[in-house]
Amino acid sequence: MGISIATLAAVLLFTAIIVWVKSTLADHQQHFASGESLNREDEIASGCPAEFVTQIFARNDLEYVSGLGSAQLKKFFAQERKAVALYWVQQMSAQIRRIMREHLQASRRSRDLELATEAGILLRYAGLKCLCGVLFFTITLAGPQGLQGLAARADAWAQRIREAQLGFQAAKETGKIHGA
Amino acid sequence: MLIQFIRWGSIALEILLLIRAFRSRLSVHYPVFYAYLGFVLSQSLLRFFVYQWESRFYSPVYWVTEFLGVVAGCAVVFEFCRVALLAYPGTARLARNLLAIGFVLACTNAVVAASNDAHRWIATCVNLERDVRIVQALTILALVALFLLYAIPFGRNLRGILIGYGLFIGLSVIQLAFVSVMGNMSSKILSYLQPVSYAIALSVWVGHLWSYRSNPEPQKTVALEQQYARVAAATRYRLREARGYLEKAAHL
Repeated sequence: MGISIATLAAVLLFTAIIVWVKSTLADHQQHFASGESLNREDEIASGCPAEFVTQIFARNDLEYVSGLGSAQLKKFFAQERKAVALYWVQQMSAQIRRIMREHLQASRRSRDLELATEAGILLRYAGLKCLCGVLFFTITLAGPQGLQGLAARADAWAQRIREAQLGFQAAKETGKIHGA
Repeated sequence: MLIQFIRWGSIALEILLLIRAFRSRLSVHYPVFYAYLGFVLSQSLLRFFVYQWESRFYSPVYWVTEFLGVVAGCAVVFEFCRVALLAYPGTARLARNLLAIGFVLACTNAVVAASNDAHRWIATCVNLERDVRIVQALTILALVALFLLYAIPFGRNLRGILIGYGLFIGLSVIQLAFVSVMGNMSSKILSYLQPVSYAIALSVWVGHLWSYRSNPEPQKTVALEQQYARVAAATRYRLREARGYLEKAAHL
């Protein structure tokens, strides 16, 4: 027990130190980064218009292509849409990372930094990154149009669980009344 | 023979570091760290003389100076935080809280361990030192995570102090864990590993603390830096907006 905890603590410490040294050296090199690379990062993180996003995930385009009756065209369309949707998720992820970086840069010098607020923001950030990961994974597996079906199924399951819970509560309360 | 060479080599490195500290005025910038080095140097010499002339006192002298060294090590971590986060008062407060929690945990653990096993005092001392070192390692780990998270820029001197001390603590934790489990069997390995790990830390310090290098100044951002509540609210709003955008995509 003692050995495993100690070894784990030591390994974590060494890993953290290596990551930290690498990141401080990378920061140093970043001062010399070309304007081009910075512009590219801004471009990635700037996001795309809402109507464009709606179009990526909408079913009507797929239905139209399916109606043309060409299996090859349909396959090609699905591949292209998946690539665009995955790029959008990456873009969103980069945008969220930028929001967090800007927050940390602004807040690290504040006098009244609050642990609870920082932890809350960090949790929210972690949640969003997870959501991006789930979206990425789902789109890779089922495609952007498949998301709609999955979301609908998840909603239906949630609704069923809620109904079951309400039924259970109602039955419990009725039992209590009868018991009394 | 080899071990004697490493031990005397370490003492020579400590003296070299202290000479460089006074010559390049590093001791003014990092007084606690150099006081710690001075303490370790005097500790090594004291142990050597006690072992040579009054060997029956060696064990108590060893353990008393060892624990004073552990406490001095904690002070080094506090100084590290103070200097590194001078320009970041809020982050410094967070780090101080983290350190305080870590050291309270270490002290509580030490008291409990000592009261549970008071009759086997050498084994207790080894376990105690191991536990305190583990807490120290975790505290340094939390600090490094904080520095990474807030992208705190570091100068060469501070980076060297933390790398050297972190390596020393990490290796000490592993050694002490093996000693407490394997007992005397590992004492021969320990007699080599401990001085070697300290010599590695000293070499890192000599490389990084040859002359004074100031810490990089943080870039001055707008007046927002004083209005934390506004910064936090704006971030929360932007994250909520991003969440809405993602959820909309998922539920189209």
